Amino acid sequence: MTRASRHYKVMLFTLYLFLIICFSLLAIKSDPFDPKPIYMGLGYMAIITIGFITMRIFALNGDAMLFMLSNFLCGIGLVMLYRVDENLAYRQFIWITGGIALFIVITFLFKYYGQVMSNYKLLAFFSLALLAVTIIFGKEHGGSTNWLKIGGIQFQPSEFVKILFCLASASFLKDHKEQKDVIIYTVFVLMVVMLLFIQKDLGMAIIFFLTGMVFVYTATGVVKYPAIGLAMLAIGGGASYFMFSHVRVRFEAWLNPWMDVPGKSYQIVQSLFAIGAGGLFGSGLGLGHPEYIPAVETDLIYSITVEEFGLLVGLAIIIIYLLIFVRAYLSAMASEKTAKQLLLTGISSMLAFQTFIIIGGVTKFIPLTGVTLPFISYGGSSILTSFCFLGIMNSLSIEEVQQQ
Amino acid sequence: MYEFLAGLFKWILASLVYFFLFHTIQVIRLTGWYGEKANAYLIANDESKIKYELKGNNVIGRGQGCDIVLNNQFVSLRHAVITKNWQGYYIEDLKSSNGTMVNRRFIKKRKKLKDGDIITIGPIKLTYRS
Repeated sequence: MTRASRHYKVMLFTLYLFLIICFSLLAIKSDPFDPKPIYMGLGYMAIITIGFITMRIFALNGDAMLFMLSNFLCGIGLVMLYRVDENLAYRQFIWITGGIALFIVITFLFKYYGQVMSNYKLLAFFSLALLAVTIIFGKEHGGSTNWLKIGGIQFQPSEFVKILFCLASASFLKDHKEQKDVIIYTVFVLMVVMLLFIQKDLGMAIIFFLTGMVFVYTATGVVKYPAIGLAMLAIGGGASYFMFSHVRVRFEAWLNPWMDVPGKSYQIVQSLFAIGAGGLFGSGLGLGHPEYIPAVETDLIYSITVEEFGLLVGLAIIIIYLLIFVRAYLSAMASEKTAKQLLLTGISSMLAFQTFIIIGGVTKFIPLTGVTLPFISYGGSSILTSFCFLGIMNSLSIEEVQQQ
Repeated sequence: MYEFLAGLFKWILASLVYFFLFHTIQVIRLTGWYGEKANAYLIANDESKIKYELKGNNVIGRGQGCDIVLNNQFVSLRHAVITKNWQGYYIEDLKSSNGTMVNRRFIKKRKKLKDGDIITIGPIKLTYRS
């Protein structure tokens, strides 16, 4: 414990040093010298310190690993956002502060999850209702009708539905494992996916479908179900390729981006150029060209990060994501309770699919669909949801240690 | 000028990221993936170096019902107890005839244990590790 605490301190100071160097560079970059980024860096460091002390002292076994890893990702995201657009970074700063507060609250309060998960019908109803309301009153934003505006606050309901969906799935499947229950659950998943499809939010629809598959497999352990799921995904993908023009555009841009560089495949080509221009060690902070990349502050933030920090840091980001997910999976495997296993696997799979879809998308590994990169991309709903998931993970794994 | 600084610091930043990752792995190695190894234990200070894992409630004594049995005539049947709460491990003397010492001081009431504390029970010395 004591030796681990020494390493924790080194991690914390490395993070401080990283943030200070980045924000000082940004301060020097603007001519004349502009102290605002340094203030922001110091503010963020203060928040990290408060959160770190809270986690180390009050979180029972002093486990601050998830907190440190997520804040490292948030730190890189904040630096990149400040470099791309100053005003977005101020708002992101507020969201991250709220997210960390939510993370700490959920870490301590989620042990009462029995009450939350007792009523799966209500949770399922709310997740469907929220999506239906979005279709009726939603605003179009970048091709998808997935924004809701209530009293001046814009948010993306599909992000919050992720939490409701995971809670509903885990609480339903924990004691419903027969074949007829799986069929009922599949109908629920397909309803969610269809509602997202109507909103033209393809990436999110795929994430929900794959997570549903993971939930069913974790609950039943029958290989038949994910096989059927994959077949359904292939049929659905094929059908939507012929039915919707925007799916076809995305798919053709993936097959051969060089056919229509200024038009259909502009995003993916700019992303590839940016990643290629960065090379192994990057062009240096502030020396890249984010102005050429569309949607650089949300979906394609990974490209500009790799361009300016280099491929090595890009790989490190993927390793950090992996550490978060593997940790949740191992904790789920060690657990005895079905509800907890389901929730941990489902949540981490959802975040993992999201990360895979967007990082794979910008590197042209799979067709590009617009979802946010958890913890790094700009977006209040995304940050809050990701921190909420992380809080649930932390709370459940802490509970696991306590019982031993 | 800025180009030079940014070009210089990109190496430092990349090394910092991997330095961070290295220490992350170190913490995982020491505490386990989700903190499962973050247990405390007692080590006997003689040649045997026997390791006693600490649970929630550990009674130390000569009696057979104790969690940590020390076979020595100067140890009482139920000598001392180490309990865990949310802040850490606490040691308490159970009105033993020869008393319990932490770092060569007799304890009168409950005392919080720190890493490296030497607990003396009768003639036996144990080191607390966490």
